[in-house]
Amino acid sequence: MKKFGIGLCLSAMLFTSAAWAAELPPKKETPPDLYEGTPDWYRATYKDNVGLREGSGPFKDYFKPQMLDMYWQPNRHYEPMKNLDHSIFIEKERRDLCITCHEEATPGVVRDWRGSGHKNPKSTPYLSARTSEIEKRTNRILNEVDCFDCHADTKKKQIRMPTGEVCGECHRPQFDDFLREREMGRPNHIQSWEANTIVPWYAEAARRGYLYGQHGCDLCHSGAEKCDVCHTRHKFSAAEGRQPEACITCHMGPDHPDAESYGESKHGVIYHKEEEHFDFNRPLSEVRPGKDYRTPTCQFCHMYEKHGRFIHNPVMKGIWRMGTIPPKNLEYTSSLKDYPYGIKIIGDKIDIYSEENIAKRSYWLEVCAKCHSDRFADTYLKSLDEFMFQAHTLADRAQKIVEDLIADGYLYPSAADRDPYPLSDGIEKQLSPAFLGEPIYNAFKTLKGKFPVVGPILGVYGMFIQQQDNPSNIENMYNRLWFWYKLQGYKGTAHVQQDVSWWWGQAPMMMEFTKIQSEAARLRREGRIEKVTLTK
Amino acid sequence: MKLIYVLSVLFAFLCCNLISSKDILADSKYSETEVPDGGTIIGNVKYMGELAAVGLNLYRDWELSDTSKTTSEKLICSKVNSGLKNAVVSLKDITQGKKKIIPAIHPIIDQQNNYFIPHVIAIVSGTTVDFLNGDEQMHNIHTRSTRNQPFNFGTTYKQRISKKFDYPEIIKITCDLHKNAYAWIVVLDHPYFDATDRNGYFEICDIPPGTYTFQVWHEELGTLEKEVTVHPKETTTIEFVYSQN
Amino acid sequence: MKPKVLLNKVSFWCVTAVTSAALMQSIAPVTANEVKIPTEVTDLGKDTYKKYCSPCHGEEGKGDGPVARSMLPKPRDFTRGAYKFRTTPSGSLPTDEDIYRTVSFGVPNSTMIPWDILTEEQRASVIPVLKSFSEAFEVRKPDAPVEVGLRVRPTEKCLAEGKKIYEEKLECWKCHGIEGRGDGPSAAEQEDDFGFPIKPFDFTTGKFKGGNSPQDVYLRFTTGLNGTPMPSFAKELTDEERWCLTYYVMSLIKPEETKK
Repeated sequence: MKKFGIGLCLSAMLFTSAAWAAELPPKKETPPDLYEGTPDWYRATYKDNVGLREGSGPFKDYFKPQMLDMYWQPNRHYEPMKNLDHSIFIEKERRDLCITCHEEATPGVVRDWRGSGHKNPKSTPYLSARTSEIEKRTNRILNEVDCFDCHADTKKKQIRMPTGEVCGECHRPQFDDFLREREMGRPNHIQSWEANTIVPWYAEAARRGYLYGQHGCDLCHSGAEKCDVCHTRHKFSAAEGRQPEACITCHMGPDHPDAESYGESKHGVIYHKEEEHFDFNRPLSEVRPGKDYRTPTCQFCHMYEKHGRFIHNPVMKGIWRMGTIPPKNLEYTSSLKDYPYGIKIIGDKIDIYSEENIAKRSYWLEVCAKCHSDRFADTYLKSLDEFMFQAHTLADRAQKIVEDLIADGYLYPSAADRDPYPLSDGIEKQLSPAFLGEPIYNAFKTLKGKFPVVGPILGVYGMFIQQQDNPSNIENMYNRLWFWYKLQGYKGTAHVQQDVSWWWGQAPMMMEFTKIQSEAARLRREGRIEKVTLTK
Repeated sequence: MKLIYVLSVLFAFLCCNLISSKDILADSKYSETEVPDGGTIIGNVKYMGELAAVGLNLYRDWELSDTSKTTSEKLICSKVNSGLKNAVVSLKDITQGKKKIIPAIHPIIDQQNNYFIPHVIAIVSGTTVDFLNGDEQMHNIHTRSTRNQPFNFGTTYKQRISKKFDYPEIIKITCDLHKNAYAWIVVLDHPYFDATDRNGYFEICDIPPGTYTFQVWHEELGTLEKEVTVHPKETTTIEFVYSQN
Repeated sequence: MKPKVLLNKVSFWCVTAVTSAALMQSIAPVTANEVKIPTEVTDLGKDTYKKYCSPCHGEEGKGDGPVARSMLPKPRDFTRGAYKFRTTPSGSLPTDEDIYRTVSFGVPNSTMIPWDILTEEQRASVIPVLKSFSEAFEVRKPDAPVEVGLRVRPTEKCLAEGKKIYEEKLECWKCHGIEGRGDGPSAAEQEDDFGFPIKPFDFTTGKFKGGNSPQDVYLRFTTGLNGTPMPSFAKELTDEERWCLTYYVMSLIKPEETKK
């Protein structure tokens, strides 16, 4: 138990185990950097502050950011307000005046802060211990952490919107844990903005005047690397971050129905019934299942790392990832056998039975074993695998139908007669063979995007942009099948929610498959009729 | 103590300033002459629109007074001849005429049963008005003016407050404790004006002959204007009619 | 029975005295004696106003600066010449010192911070700028400050009299509430001269807007707060009565709520 106390701090979550931290050599105190280990081009397009002048990501030159990106992506886009110069307060470090004015200007914020651990970092023995660790690490006395500490950019003498790096100055172990999301690759929180902007359709949508239509994606996907996504401003409560509600404001909807599937599963229903008996003030590593929590929360399973240790990020044990990437362990009939086609910016096929994934599976079983027998849990997870293999097989067959149709020249309107793939000109200019692989790059160079792209991941553009006849109806049907219904079935099965698994997953997947079959048959028939009439 | 001393010296100085600057600041365009052959205007202000029904406001006061019926003072109109009470008729562009007589007996605005009585008075600049509290409860007298010094005094039963109004201005007086109660003081810098009686009648006399713009002001209905020629030693009758909207 | 009551009173007064002393400490007065307040609008004044005042009070002093729209209470509109915190009688314009004092102390419970962050020259320089926004300063001059009578001792009798004035004679409770929480029966309907709803002051917070010393409180109901429904009681109360009311009002402070 003693070992478990060290290395954690007050306001963020307390998941890392100290045993792990203590074994490592003391960290060299480099300033926290969310982009540690990323290449130069990445920093230049995601980190360097450009205000609202240009966008972000490899296609930054093709769009200006949404105005709200100022707050969502403060690292890159924040601009201090022009009509009220705050520099004098920063120069003279008048912490009291911030509070005096904002107590009235934005009273909710100040009261929130007054109830936070930042206002009284030594109010309880537990907080006190965490605070003294931070004090040792940062070499300063912390009796109160106020507006000035996070919001004052003393170098530029202006107000800043804090990013994870600002939090990381004090909450270093949590920050370092969070940084490890990058090891696992996307999908994760730290790169969630990349998910939007590394794909060409975001810039293309902006170019076609649909930028503010992306609001719904951007609300979650930009700024998920900020800490206040889970520990909301200005209370930054660790307990809040431990509640499922911290996750479900984003994790919902057709492509990741976690809120729906967990919320209506037995786990979720018991949580909702007995929420007031859950002790969220307890660090996850000290939660006694059955006593403090009667059912698991999102965090309890997903932030469990291994061997009783918790980590301050929820992606470490992901095996099937989001459910989009095809597994290695199947025989494919469609072009999925060549996935990822040499493209470097999308994830490689998953080997469900790799050594790493088998280890991860055993970590999952460690969590389940808090309440379930090992055999039960193992059987359940195996049946999830089987579900996914079946779903991917179905998706493969559907992709084969679409690809055959295209190969036989029955796609209507044909690729030559419709708008090219989103931002084809930009892809050719901004991306190199190093990103796309030689063959794909050359295809863009020679065909200028006048070719169909079907399937994971680059075929999903039809859900994010509207272009003339591109994609066609049948291509979008296939998108719905593999991107919506397959993922709904996956989450429904994984979170033990039968309705989501069947009526929102498996059933519509099969119905969509039939629709694809008949649409393909219709296109072929019309194509044949056309050929006959034209030759006559 | 030292501070107070310094301040009082400073203010003695400022007060001297006040007296000396007063003459400059009183921008009276009006000059007084003898008017031997003045004419008289009598007339009537009418409102031809519909009157709002008398409302019953149960929440007007936290302690229901004897008459819980509230009558609106905004628009008081005679049923006999549609004459409009509480309108102020004045000459708009008169520059010289009879002597401004500042009444030695101060006009009174009394607060009775949570109302100001009278509701509208018209006075010539320089007049002192006495404010009374005729209710056995607390009131306040709150004016909103810019040129005349505003004030806001709390008053108890039988309190009398005298205030002089030096500059032409239309001033609203309220009692913040009784939101229904308010009154108007119309200050003019010449003596040619009259407030209408309950039948809408007014009379303005000793006007030097000539053609003038007559103006009538009413708090709800706004202003109306009319050109009228005044003949020496004659009485002319005019009529202002506010139609509905 | 009796000694207990007395003890209660004593302890209560200690608390009140300590609280008000602490509060006074926190906004130690900055006297304007050494600062020369310019009579004309200077460049320094214009710059200072533009940079630090106009975001809320507006370029033309109308209280309509770019950040004013979301503020409550609204920033003061200077065009009427109605200043709340003065030493001059009801309705009068403030003295330069009054304005200087408000600028330096700020107005607690509002976004008007104590601008002691600016130099004394800067603070003094904005005063002619503020005055230039209202024609009232051209037509009128401030009256002489009211006389602050000799302070009486806060005895129990005095307190009782203050209570009587508060509850019966002046009926302060109608707006400010019996317990001084600003929740009297007329509280909800109050508006200021600019048409904005205004809340009667909650005495329990102890953060008096015009300053926390007994003399400040005394001045508030002697001079009234221009532009608000708060009248002057200069004509109603004798000097002694006003001191009694001062002490009674200050006794309504709830120390535990003052801490916030």
